[in-house]
Amino acid sequence: MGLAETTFDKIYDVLDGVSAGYYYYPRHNVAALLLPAVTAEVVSNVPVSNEGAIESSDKWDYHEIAVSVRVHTDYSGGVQDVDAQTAIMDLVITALRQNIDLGDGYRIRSWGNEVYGAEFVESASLGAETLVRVRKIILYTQT
Amino acid sequence: MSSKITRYVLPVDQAELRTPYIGIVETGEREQVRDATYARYVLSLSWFIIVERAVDDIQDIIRNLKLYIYSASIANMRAVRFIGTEIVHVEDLNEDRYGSVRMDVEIIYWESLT
Repeated sequence: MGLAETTFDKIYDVLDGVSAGYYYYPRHNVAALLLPAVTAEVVSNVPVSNEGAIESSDKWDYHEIAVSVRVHTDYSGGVQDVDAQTAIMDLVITALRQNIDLGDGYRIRSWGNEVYGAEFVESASLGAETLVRVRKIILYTQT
Repeated sequence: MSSKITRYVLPVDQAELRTPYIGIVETGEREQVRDATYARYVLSLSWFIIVERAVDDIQDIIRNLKLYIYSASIANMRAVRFIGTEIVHVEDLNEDRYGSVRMDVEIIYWESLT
């Protein structure tokens, strides 16, 4: 399993574990979307080499993995309920905050770029979105 | 995305109009989104209602029609959401003896593709 897939599974576990009050889907493109819903999808996975950046007996690289998390409160053509979007997004962010360390070297670094009152083409729905950045550090022992 | 619209001709030129007259004047269906296993559709319905003011309770007719549409579409189409429900007063007819309204409803439902 790749780093992006593992990251996604870890975020899935966090959000699915607190999904009281909303439906959770592991992709953005959902036609049979029951509301209110939360969907998530990996949007980028960037490897970063840190060789030579620090003086250490260890060499380490990391991967910066971005996961888009969306909250859906109505279908396109319906009503933008920013209060409901904010309430569910608060649940999502609280869950992320309580699980900064995702285990196995995966760590949530930040969440942000929040947008409310958005319309999503992939699900024909209205809601909010945030971008969660996860870092996976890979250590190599110098020989 | 597929879309189809059907229009019906309303026989408003009848000499003796029996009220309350309730008829569909337009239906339309469009695909809103699809994934690997489901497609979600929006079914638009427009109803034309003519009432005789002294006899018919237009609010009661609208309320019952909405309930009928909602319950029928939930039972038969597993509708998940009604949006854009709107009552538009169209005109008074025959020196206010008759009144007419147009009721627009959008019904969201989905079907399995497998």
